[in-house]
Amino acid sequence: MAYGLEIKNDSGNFLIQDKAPSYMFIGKATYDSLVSHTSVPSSWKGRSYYYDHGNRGSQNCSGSLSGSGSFEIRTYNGYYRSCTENSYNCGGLTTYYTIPDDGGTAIFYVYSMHRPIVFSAGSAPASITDTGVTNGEGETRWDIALLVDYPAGDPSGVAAMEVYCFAYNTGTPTGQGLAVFDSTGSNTFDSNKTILNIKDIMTITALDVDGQTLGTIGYTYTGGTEVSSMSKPMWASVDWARWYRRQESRSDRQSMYYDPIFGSPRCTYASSAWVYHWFITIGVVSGFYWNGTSITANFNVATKLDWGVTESSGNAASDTLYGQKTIPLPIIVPIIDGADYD
Amino acid sequence: MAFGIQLMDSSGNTTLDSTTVAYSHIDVISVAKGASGSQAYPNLVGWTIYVSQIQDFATYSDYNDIVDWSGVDVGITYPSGVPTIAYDSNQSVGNGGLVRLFIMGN
Repeated sequence: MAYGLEIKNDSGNFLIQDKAPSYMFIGKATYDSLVSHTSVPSSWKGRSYYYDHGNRGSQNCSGSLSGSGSFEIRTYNGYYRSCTENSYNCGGLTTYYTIPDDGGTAIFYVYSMHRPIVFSAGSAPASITDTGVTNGEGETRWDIALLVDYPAGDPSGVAAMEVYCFAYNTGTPTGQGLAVFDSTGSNTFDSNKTILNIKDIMTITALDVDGQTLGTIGYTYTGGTEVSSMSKPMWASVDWARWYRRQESRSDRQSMYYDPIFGSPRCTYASSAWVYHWFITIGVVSGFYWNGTSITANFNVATKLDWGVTESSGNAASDTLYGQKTIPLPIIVPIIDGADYD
Repeated sequence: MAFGIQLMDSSGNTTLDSTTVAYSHIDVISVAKGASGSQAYPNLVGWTIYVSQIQDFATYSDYNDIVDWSGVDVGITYPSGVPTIAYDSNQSVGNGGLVRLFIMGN
């Protein structure tokens, strides 16, 4: 090195240097609130669909939450009815989907001069927002939204989640110890703060998530068995895949047309036209639960729901799943031992 | 400890123990949507580099939005032993577009 300070360990890894600021432990995030993913958009008369027979147009259908997390899709006000071939009996069309209360978005927060990175036991995907709020020390409040899952109907454990936060050092070091500054005078190390110590790296080398199935995850650890020797392995929040599930439920054959004489929609039977209710769930793939022996994959909860009514010439219900990686392979995930910071 | 360096805060808590550091944090590069570039680390000849993409999740209402999120293409090469990272966000980056490349090595 031409100038400055570098201290390495016996393996040649940096411990302290003046070139790159060290990430320091700034604390565990504080729990604020939880919004469960049981809400459904457009709860009433908010969705449009097309009917193909007669004049093309759109009408509203309805959907609402009912019972314990069941979501009902129902056609609106008789405009869209099922028809039987012989009786022309126009009945209602109703499909129920169940939305379990087993996941949501949890808000935590931490104060820091700089944007933090976070580690958690489940590698919960995170979205970190600068709130613009500062405390008396001039530190910004960073809201940390985590996608979390929990036992159905029991979110009580969410508030107790441990979210380890790291950021470039904050403020001016005080008191005793060792401090290092770069050429601009910014503090890069302070012995009064615990340094981010990445003890292992998980490398996802195979991820069968692209396409219409979600398959297995292939991964290796560059650190060998290091994870198994940790007391509390914590994975960095990395958003690496999405899934999209579309369920269709056939309701009945039907047809609608607009009768210019009566000036209203009419119902008739069509053998080739089926009406479907559809319901989609969009989720974020997370994972890396450590059960003390091995890593188990986890597919995190839905983040958005959508629904509607459509027509099709087919007559089979379907349940399709699509996956999409959001980061090219290999996917690298740093791991720390939370016990180092407790 | 038998060897190495150990630092403690004023309460006697260990803040740095050289025997436990397996990977060094080297750098963080923020990559905005549409940005590309490269970064070489000539002072780290012989090191193995790892790049983790730290990005915020976003929520979507449509599958087309999902596939629009593609992270950043990252390539790591070692010309003459110098770790070099090339990154390209030519594909869309989600959530308004900011990915942090968290770079580690040993």
